Amino acid sequence: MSDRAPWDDPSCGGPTQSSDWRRSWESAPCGLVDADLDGLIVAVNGRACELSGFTVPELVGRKNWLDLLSVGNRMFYDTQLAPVLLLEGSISEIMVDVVTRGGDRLPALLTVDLLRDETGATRGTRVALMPARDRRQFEISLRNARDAAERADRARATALRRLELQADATEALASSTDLDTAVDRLAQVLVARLAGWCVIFTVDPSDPSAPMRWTAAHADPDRQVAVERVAELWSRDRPASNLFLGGPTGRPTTLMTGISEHLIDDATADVELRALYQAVGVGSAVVAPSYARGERVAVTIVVRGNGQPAFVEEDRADMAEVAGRTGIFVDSARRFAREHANSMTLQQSLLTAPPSIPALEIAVRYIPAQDGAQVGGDWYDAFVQPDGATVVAIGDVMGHDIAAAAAMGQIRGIIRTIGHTIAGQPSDTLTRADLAARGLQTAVIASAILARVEDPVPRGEPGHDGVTLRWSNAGHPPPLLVTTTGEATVLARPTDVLLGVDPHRPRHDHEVRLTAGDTVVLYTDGLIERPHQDIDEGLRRLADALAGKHAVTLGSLCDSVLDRLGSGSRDDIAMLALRVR
Amino acid sequence: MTGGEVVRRNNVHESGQRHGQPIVFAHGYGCDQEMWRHVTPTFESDYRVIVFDHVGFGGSDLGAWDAERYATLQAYAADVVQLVHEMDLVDVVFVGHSVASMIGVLASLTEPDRFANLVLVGPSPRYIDDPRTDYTGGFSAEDIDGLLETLENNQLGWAAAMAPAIMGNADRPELADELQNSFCRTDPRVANTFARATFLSDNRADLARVTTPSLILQCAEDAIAPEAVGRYTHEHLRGSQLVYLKATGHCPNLSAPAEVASAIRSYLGRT
Repeated sequence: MSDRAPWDDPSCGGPTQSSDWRRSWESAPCGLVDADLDGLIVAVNGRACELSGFTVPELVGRKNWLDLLSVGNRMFYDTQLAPVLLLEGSISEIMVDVVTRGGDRLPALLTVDLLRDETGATRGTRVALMPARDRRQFEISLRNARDAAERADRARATALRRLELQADATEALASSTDLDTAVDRLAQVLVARLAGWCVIFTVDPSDPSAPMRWTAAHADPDRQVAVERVAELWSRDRPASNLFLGGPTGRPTTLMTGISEHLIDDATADVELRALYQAVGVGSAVVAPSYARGERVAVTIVVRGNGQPAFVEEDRADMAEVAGRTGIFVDSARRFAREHANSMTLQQSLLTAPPSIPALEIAVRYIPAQDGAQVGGDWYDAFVQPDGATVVAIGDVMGHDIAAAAAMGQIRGIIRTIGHTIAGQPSDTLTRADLAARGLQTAVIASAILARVEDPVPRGEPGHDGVTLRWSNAGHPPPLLVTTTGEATVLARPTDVLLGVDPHRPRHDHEVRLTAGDTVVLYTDGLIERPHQDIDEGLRRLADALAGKHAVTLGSLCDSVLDRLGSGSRDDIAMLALRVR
Repeated sequence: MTGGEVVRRNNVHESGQRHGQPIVFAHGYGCDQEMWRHVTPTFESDYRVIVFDHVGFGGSDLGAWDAERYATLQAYAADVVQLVHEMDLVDVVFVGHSVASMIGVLASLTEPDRFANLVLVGPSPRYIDDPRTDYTGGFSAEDIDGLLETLENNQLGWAAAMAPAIMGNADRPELADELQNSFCRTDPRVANTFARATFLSDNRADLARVTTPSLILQCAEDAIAPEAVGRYTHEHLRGSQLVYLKATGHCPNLSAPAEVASAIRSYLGRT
């Protein structure tokens, strides 16, 4: 530069224009550095030497001022600050590290102004450096606060995800009393929320020779077949030789990470299984056994492939909780299934086939509740009294468990015994049965219709003119009559009190005359009751279903009515139809 | 033709000759289209001059920015290709400063037929040294960490914008207008993501596939893109011309706009 500017004086004092100038340059409360257009230092003040640790001769004419900054700072300057400086003429308060002569880093605030000559052309830059430990601390606090806020946000999201997993798992298990259905749904939840794929085994400790049941799911539907094959091979192998199922009974939920091909090869002799592992992906896993009364009842294996983040301790804890719920569920589902099977057996054994009677055709049906969850106390019966009259009965004991099924057996037995011994009117038989049940301390509340078919003039003899149906109703839905014209009518009569409430209250008999071809239908409330629908509507639908059914066989009549009205009933249904020959 | 989605998203501005050959100026890391303001006037007499901001910078649609999408240069190149399509540009001269030169390289590889020439101002196909291939980019991985730390340490101006995050809601609302409008002020997060995309990139393999003729402008004493890197780029870019500028530093478009403009003009054959 031909016209050397005042700051070109290579002494520590910088500008030498005047002694005043020189004093303020030296006494400025910050390090000052002047540089030329290429960044070469042309002047520094004492403060700048002090904070950088360099001497004047080491700096002036020798160093580029940018060399006082760290490389990272320099990149920041070149990419972000230089454009602003060149366009706006200055930059201020930038946080930098001054690299001192000793190699230490000194936090400092950087301010840079463009220096111009009289014509306005850029001559160089003036740099001010202010030590700024506090400002650094402030930046760090700000950053820490932001990081903490983001961590808290992530923690909240994680906690929510974990709660949702438990909620969904519980909902899946509670969605059905059927073990396989519920476990299937649980597997779907686990792949939707947590795992790449999963296999759930259920084991029946009371039957060790039974095959392990399994359900398998993969998050990627294209790999569902592969994962099912894995489960099948595992179930065949039995646990011992299995990568995940080995180990003693009683071990807790285990986290396995970093499952390498090496480990798989060591643990798996089966070539097909090794190939399948490749296909479904094995990188980390959680193996979660479920126990009930000290016995292992299920094992849930969730797996992620190598492309997915490995399971962590939190996932293990979550799976332990899911496994706990699964154990309780499997145990109660099994007990329920056993109890249900027992009740069904008992009930079926109590319901006998109707007798064959020349004057009447009788058909009976019993269907258990549709979801299999409930055993009913519904019954039907048909027998012949000592005087030759045929008695038919239908009834319903309150309750839906094995106790109800047993109570049904008792009340049915009492009615049958009294009815078979004493040829009384239906109302009389019911009163005696009610008293007997009270006397024998059978605490049963039941609704029932007992009906007697009286045939004063035997068929084929002169004067035969059909039969009389006489019945008494203890709080039961009314019978329906289908005449030979196909018309269906409700035989609506007042009903008496339920059995088991008060044996001394009077009971009444009702009668109707039936001719050949007339059909009477008795049934329990499962056939006419639907949620949010009143009984009258149910009766109307039953009458509609029966209308015109005079010509079909009695069996078909029962089946068509049950098809139309019985499907989806939450209750069990007993039905008895009789037709005069 | 204009007024479309990309035009708004990338804050596209046009000047010059409506029916002239399109010349697109892309800013590099750290600023926005303002970096070209002393260069573009020279071209307005005979070119259709187009400037824009990368998403996340300047007046671009900050809502369109997404940390995952914009984690690689390919996303910025895809935006350029979209811009070319939406504005239906052909025979394009693409002028990229700094990292935008590699963005131009990637865009031309996607749509070679749309680009007539590439002008690469201070290009670097890889910033980090690679001893395995004897490549000198000028920086170590630690240097890049130093830059990221400097970015982290200079977000004071962003305190207001970060307040919602600190109050416990990390999903920040739209940034305040005054911040959007401040010149070269970039959200530290955007700056951080773009810094990674830029300085951790390795586009050396892409150079050999370029078929578009190109001009490389190399400054003296450019710490970001040293001379050796400019030479490397020239040697690996078929049909490229290397021109040394007198200008020093990394931003000749600001420090020596006349020199940059005349170098481009003489390369394009219209002085």
